[in-house]
Amino acid sequence: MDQERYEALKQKVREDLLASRGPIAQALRHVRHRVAVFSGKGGVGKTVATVNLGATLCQMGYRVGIFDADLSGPAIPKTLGVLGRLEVTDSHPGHHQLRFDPLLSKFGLKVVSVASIWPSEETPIMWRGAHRMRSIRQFLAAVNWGHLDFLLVDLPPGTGDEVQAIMSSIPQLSGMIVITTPQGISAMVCSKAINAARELNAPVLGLIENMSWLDCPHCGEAISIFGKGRGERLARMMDVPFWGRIPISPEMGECVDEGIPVVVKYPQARASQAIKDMALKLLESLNVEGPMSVEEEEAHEKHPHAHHHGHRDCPDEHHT
Amino acid sequence: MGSRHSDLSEEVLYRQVLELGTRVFEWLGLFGREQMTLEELEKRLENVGAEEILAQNWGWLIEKPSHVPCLEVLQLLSSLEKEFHYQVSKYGFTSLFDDYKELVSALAKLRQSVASYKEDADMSKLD
Repeated sequence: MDQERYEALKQKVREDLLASRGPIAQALRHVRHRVAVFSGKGGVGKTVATVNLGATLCQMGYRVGIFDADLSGPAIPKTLGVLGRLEVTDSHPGHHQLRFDPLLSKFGLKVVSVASIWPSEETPIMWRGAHRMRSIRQFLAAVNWGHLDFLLVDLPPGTGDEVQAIMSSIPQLSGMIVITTPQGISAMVCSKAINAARELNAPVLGLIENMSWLDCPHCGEAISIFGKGRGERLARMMDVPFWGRIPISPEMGECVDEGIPVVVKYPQARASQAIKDMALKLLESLNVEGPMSVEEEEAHEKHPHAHHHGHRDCPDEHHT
Repeated sequence: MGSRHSDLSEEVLYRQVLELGTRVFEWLGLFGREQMTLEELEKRLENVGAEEILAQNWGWLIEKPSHVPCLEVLQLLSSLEKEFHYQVSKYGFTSLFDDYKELVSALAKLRQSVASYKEDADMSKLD
C-alpha cells in the first residue's frame, strides 16, 4: 500500500473512531434511538410533525428529546411552549466547560434549540457554512441528554451541507422520517431528499404526507387543497413505507400558537389520531415494544444482544 | 452559570474577547500566507480558551441582544477550538477562509460595542 493511501486509511480510521467514541457519541451514549426528521423543502410542517410525534411517544411512556438543528428558523421551543434559556451546568471556579441540561417542556419532552440560547427572537443567526456545522456539532456534544428512548432531530430543510453534516455526525442514526405535502413540487424535492438520505446510508423509515386535506367546517367534506395522493405515490415510487396523512386543521394552527402539541390538547382530533398511528409505525419500524426501566436499560447497554423487555427479534446467542 | 457584570467588567470582558479574536484573526492570516503550518494553527486553536470564557460568562452573554457581538465572537472561536479537526478533515483547510471573513465582520461589530464604552466615558466626563 503506498504512503498516500496509507495516510488516507489512517485518517478514515481515526474519523470512524472519533465518531464512535468522540464527544457526540459520548453525549448520546444513553440515547437508544436517534431519528432525524427531514423534508426536502421548508414549510411542510416538519417541526409541528416532529413535536407531535415526540409528544405522542411521551404519552406512550417513552423518554423523548428533541434537538432543533434548524439554525435559521428554530421553531421547536415556541411550538412546545418552552420558555427560558439553556444554562451552562459545568461551570465553577477553576473549571468552565460548555455543558447544558436540556430544557424540559410541560409535556415531558427534553428540548435543545439554538433559540434557547440566542438573546433575542428578532436577531438572526448569521453564521456561515462551516461555522454553522461546527456549532451544531458543538451543541450536540454539549448536552446532558441522560437516558432517552428517542432523540428526534429536527433537521433544517433541504439536502445541503448542513443536513449532510448533521446526519453524518450522529453516530448510529436509527433512521429518517420524511415529511412531504401533497403538492407536486414538494414530492419532487422530497424524492431528492430520499435519494440524498440513501447516499448517506441513512435508512428511510417512513414517509408522512402533511397538510393532506381539510375537513370542511360546514359539511365535513374532505377538501384536498394541495392535491391528492402524491405522498403515497411518492412512497411507492421511492420504495419507502408510507405512514399516512395528517390533515390541516384549525386546531393545529391554534395549538402551534399556544405552544401545546395538538395530540395533547385535542387527542381525539383526526390529526392526533393520524400522528398516533405514525408513532406506532415508528415503533414497529425500529422493533421497539415498550419503554425500558433504567435497570433494564443499563443491562441492555452491558449486553446489547441479550433479550430484554422492550425488544423483539434479538439474536438468540445471548438469550437470557 | 454565568455571572452578572458591572459596566466596568463588561467592558473588560469585551476587550478581552476582542483581543482573543484579534489574535485568532492574525493566526488565520499567518496560515493563509503560509507562515504558519496547519498543525501549529490547530494546536494554538485547541488551547485558545474561548470555551472557558464562554462558559464562565454564559448567563450574562445570553441575557441581552446588546451582548450578541461578544457572544458571536466567542461562539465562533469556541467552535473552532472544539471542531477544527472535523472541519479541516471534512471540508479542507480552504474552509477556514470563510471563518476568517466571518471573524473580521464579528470583530468589527464588537469593536463598535467597545467604542461605545469610550464614548459613554467621554460623555460622562462632560457632566
